[in-house]
Amino acid sequence: MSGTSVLMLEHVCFGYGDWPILTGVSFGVDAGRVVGLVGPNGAGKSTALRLASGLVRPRSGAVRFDDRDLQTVPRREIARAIALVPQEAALPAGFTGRETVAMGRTPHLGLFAGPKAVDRAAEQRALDLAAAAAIADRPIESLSGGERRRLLLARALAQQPQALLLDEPAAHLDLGHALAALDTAARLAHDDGLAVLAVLHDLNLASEFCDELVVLADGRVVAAGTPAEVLRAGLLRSVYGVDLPVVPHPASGRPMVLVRSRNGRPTTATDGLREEDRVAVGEADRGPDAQSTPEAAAVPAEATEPSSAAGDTGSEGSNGEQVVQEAAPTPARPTGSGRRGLVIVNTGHGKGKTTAALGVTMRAWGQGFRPIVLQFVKAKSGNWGEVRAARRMGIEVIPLGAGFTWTSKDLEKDKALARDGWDRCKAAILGGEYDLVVLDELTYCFHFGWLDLEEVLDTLRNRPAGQHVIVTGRDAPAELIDFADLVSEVREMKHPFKLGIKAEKGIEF
Amino acid sequence: MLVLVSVLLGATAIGETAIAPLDAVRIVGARLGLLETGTSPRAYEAILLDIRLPRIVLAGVVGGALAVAGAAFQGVFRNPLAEPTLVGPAAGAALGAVLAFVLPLPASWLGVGLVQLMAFGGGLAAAAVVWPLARVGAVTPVTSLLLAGVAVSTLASAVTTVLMYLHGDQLLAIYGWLLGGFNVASWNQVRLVAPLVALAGVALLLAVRPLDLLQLGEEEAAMLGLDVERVKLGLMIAATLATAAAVSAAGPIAFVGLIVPHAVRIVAGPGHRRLVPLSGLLGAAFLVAADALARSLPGPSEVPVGVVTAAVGAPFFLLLLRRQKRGTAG
Repeated sequence: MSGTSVLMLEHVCFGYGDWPILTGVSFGVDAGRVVGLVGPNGAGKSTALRLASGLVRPRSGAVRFDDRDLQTVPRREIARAIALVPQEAALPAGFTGRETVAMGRTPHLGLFAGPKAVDRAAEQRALDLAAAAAIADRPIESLSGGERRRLLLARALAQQPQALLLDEPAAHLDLGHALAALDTAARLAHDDGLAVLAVLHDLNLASEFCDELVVLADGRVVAAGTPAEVLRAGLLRSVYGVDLPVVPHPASGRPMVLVRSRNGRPTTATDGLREEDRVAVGEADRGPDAQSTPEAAAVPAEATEPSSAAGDTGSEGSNGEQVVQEAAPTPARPTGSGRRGLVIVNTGHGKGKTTAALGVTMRAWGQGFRPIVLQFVKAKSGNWGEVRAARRMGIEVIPLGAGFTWTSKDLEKDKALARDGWDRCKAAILGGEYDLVVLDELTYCFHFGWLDLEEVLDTLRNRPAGQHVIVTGRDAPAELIDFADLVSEVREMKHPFKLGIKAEKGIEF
Repeated sequence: MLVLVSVLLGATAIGETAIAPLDAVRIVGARLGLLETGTSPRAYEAILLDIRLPRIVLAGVVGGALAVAGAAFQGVFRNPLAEPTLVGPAAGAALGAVLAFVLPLPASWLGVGLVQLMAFGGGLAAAAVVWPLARVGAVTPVTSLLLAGVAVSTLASAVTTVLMYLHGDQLLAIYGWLLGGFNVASWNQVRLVAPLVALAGVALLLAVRPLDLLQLGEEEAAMLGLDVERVKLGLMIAATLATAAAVSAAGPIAFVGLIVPHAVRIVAGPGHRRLVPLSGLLGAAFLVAADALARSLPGPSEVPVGVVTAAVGAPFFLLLLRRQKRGTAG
């Protein structure tokens, strides 16, 4: 991603109405490289692609081609430099494939002049490159989905672009056609020097065919680099909310995601792979210079030693543990560190204080921060909806005490439990490993005089610089409110937007 | 082309006074100085040159204009049911014409009927109102163009109806105009309409490649280097000009702009390189033939040509709908 990329997005922001789609997205595509744009649904991948094509204009920031802002370049000129292959296109009936591909020559033709020999040659070369020559003279209606895709690619290549944008080139294609489409794209980059940018959903295809990956989530670039740098279990957890192992491909060495049902049904020898079909996962360490895929896949497990590695992979589900240890358990912290953390107090007698705090927490987690939630629980079990959701995402939610209530029988015992709980809170705050600490229902402890307010404030004052703390609970003491950077008073549960937490700009992690 | 020539010849012959096609050729040739003056009666010459011929030429020009505009509209809207009157020119022209009937204005201006002038102005005005109404930011989506066109047309029709209701004494004249026809055709009209139609026709003929590209969808056309908004605006201006000119001369004649491009598409395919010129020729031939039929059908007076085109067009339209339904179902 050097400054010399052919196609560059620079701090691009875009949205529909008040709804932001992309915020501050920057990346570049070099000539001769395949860059994969990946990320969950709704992350803004297709929007980023359309921006890169110049079809839509960024609200702020710029899209540059050869160092020129696309906004200043006429449509015809853009069409000679950048071609977009849509995922699906309404190819009008009645035209032949060749006529459709010839339309790709439009930006090269004079306004009223017909196509010349050079255009016919470019058209034929495009058909050949896209493996569409054989279907060129058939009517569009008679072509299959995969064949239409090849025509769309041929049409784009007839533009003779320097940058090729592909919108999900593998979607709706069977495995064979998907591989062929991506092989073509990679060849165009590596042999013909095109800058290729492809939106991809399948992470394994992206890993195998792309030189670089750009991960978009929530309209931001959350990671970028080679597949090996980017595709890690921690990223899958923070971006997709899934806990899946990532292993190197036995032949190419590129990271591959092993998908698995969340139900965790254990596999047995009979419904899993036959023993002789298994690939010895341990062999993957040989790296990219090892044998090519088919050969490696053909190696029977017995031939390499009745492989324990293969066995482990098959039975991975049975004990519910992850076999593969990821290199980076904590997601990489994106941007913004170094800024001073906030103290937020959610108080008031209405409902929603904890829910709001957990919402912020999940968002922070999704962006790669490390949060912890410490709850002074009111009831014996505090495992309701949002808490369950947070736990399922992998957020640490620690219950403290045995259930503090307003009518506690044994106040001395509760006091001791509260003191213990606070010690854990203090350790979490001062330990420095968390970016966000949520102290849920802490104010109960002040109410009964179990905790010393000054000690709590001192701890907050001494917290690591970038750490955010959220305190919830009714009747927050005035000193705490004065100390906080942001205070929300929740009064009515049914009108959260009127009186409760508002989505304010500036509470941004 | 052959069809057009033979229809023209046939049409000159048909009428209350029968004139043999060969005689007709001789008379026209003589007037142009190409042939020697023949032996035809002078009355034949007057009927042919001053009454029948301007009517035929005007019908041809109007038919060609509507059909070419129809092909362009169907191309821009990517909708086989689009019509040149879709974005308002017909309703606007009707309102203009009715205003000319009911207002105390001179009957003609610079040798041209005021009804025609007002109809032309009304047609253009309606389209000129529709375009900015349909604009969303920097673009004009065809769906909002369609909706704005329908809204403006409905409003203009409502005003037209109120005016007709308030001026019952003029009802017959107004109604006759609204049905459409060429019974008042004159060389003056031809002189006014033909250049406008020719101008618009040339513009549309030059735009056949952009029209083909638009069939891919506006975004893809843009991706292939087309300045979609400018092309759309240009096409709409040319097509509306042709439509308004045609409607002003002949009233709103139904179905020509709708069915002719379809008939051509069935024979010559969807490529606009052939579709636009052939639509022009077939539209001209169709309307000349329809008008010849209208004035030769037995009856106390002429059948309005709009009735003839509708009678032929409506069944064709239904057939098309059926085919479409089958297409989407299958």
